[in-house]
Amino acid sequence: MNVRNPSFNRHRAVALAVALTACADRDPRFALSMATLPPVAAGSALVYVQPALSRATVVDLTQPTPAVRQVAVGDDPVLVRARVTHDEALVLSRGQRGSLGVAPAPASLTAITAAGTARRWTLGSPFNALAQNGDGHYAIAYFDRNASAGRLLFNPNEIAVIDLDRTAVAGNPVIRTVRSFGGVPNSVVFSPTMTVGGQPRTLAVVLSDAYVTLIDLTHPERSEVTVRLTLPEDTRAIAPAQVVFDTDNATMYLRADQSNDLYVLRLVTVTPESATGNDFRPALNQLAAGMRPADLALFGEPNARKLLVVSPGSRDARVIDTVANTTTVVPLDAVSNRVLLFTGPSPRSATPALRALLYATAGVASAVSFVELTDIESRRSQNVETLQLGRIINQALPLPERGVVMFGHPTSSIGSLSLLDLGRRTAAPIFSEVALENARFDDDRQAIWVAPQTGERLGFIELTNFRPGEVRLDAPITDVIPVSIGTTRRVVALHESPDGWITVVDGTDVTRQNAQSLRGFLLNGLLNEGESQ
Amino acid sequence: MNARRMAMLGVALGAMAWSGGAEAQTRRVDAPWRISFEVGGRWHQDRGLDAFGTTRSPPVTGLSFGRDLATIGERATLALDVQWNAENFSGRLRDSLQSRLTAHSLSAGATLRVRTRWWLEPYARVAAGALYSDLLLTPESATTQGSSLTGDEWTFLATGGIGAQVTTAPFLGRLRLAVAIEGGYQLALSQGMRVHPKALANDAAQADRLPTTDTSLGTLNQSGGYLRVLLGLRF
Repeated sequence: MNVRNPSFNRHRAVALAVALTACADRDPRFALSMATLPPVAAGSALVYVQPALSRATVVDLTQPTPAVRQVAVGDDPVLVRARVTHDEALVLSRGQRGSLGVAPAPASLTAITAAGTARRWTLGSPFNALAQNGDGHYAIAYFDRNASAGRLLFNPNEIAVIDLDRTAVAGNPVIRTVRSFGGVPNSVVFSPTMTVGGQPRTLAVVLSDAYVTLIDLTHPERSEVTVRLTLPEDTRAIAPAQVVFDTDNATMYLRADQSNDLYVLRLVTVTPESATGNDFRPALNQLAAGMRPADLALFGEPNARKLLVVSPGSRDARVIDTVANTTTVVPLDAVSNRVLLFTGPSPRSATPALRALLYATAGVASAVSFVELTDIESRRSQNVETLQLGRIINQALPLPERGVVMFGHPTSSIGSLSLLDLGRRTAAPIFSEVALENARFDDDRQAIWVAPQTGERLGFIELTNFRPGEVRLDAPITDVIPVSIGTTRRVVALHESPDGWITVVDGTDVTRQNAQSLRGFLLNGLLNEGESQ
Repeated sequence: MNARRMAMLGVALGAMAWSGGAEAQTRRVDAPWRISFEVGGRWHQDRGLDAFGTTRSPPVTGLSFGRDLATIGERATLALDVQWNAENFSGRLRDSLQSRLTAHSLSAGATLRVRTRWWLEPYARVAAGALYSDLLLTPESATTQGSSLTGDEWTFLATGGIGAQVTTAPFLGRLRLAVAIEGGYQLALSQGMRVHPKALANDAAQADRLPTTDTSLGTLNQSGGYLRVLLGLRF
């Protein structure tokens, strides 16, 4: 007997009515912000990261029609960097704290290729800063004291050492807390490959207010070495700022912003005390370097290394013989805070030789000094030639491989840029409506690209012949990113638009006819995003 | 004027309620033409439509025009019609864009009506046609104002539904008022939606623009159940 249940039928009718009339909740992803981190180039691709979506959009410029791909990254990405000497982008994510309906997720680092493939390393703690060594083999994630950690508690001395050439396995990354004397890391610098104890290795140097920490990246399981640069009772924050490595002599030279001394760390080979002990220890020495040394450079043969130091506070340069531990003071006519070593001729000698250009940025001088390094200790100021530019120098872009330095000056009737010919020691003005800080080089330094913040013209200077030019685009340009694709050069101009707007310009034939725009790529696949959930 | 119309509608509905003999109840209404205005809604399942507002079921409005074609037996009538309707989705996308999608349906259908009373005709309807979707994405920021993205796409659709039509007694000669309610399902093929910058009003400026590569937003499927109410005139 078929017995109908009136109540059941009524419920079905109600359910049907609800199904017909109710509206499904809107997919919350469509309410998330479109904001992006500043994009970077990863080989032939441009990588945009959208923090709210935990997603990177990769615009592959290999083909004439750009291919757009989307790659998931860890939750809460805070920065994206191009991987040094590799065609990858590195995205540092702080992870998810967890909230109602959202599970906590650890911090991570994601490497993304132009083809849209990704590798990810779990870091654990929500680091907000990233440093890479010179060949992009290692990265260190750490806490930048000036950025928010976004957590109730965090240990600012915790770091993660990531071997980017290896996948995520046990022992990669290495998470550790560096020894602290009350400070926190300010920055991390890496050594080139140095021979220490007969073995090549890469060192990371963590700079804190009054001490540095050395980490042997070739043996990350070994304990770090911390070197205090001040006496224990000295509470000064001397702020180490620059490290120059002498790879032949396993030595590093440190300059601190708030110290008149240079610090020499010579790595002496020792027998390790345990399996996690180091096979070297640093021997610390201090060298007087005038008033507030601002820059230094190392020159000379391995067995006769010398330091050239500029000290704007005492308006001199100092040549320090690191072997004899002697200092020669070279008075300067012009204040300098930057050292540029270059090999080239001079007006009096066509023979290329190692020379130095001393100059000052940040608007403190209008003259530069050329220094002949040969016999500098005996000839002193006789080896210095001062060249008046007639205008205050605000910025500088050294191009020693092209024999020039480009200087930026305050806008004036004779141009706001000048090109200093290092061989002839002459300066030629170039008119520019933009400041040098917005300039971008090609990877191969064939050209320099500039764009005013509000204009729609992209300017360039061919560095082979210093011929300037410009091309008009369709919209104001917010930034310029040169991209190398094999032997071809392309320059990507970024335009402001929440949906993504770029113009790709042929860097070898810069004309409007060879430019092409791409709009809306940050919305690529928008309509099918919900399906992947 | 409105009062007069309401009075006529009342008279017509009164006539419907008049009960005569069985033959009178099933006699054919001699009004082969019909023009209708419709309102209703569709219940879309595609989450992609969330990009264009907070509801996937905005009101649908449209027009249809039909004619009885043949009688089948004593009570059944076969009719053909053409129908156009449109629905408009609009909203805010990701805090930075105004989004709008307009979907136009144009279809031709066949309706089989069966008289149960002279004024009441349950029916089944099938239709096929085209669906045209037109979208516009406009950045909200001042610097990109007016630099909208737009795109459109056609696709095939088919619908099937059942409903009931109520017809009034004649007034003003042969005119009859017809009210129908219909529910069913719309099956639409997916549309690949691509966007490009909206053309500039100035032809010279548009011609000067750099070539721009389209961007694919993905696919949109506008299949879903529907309910529509038609209010029309038969004559």
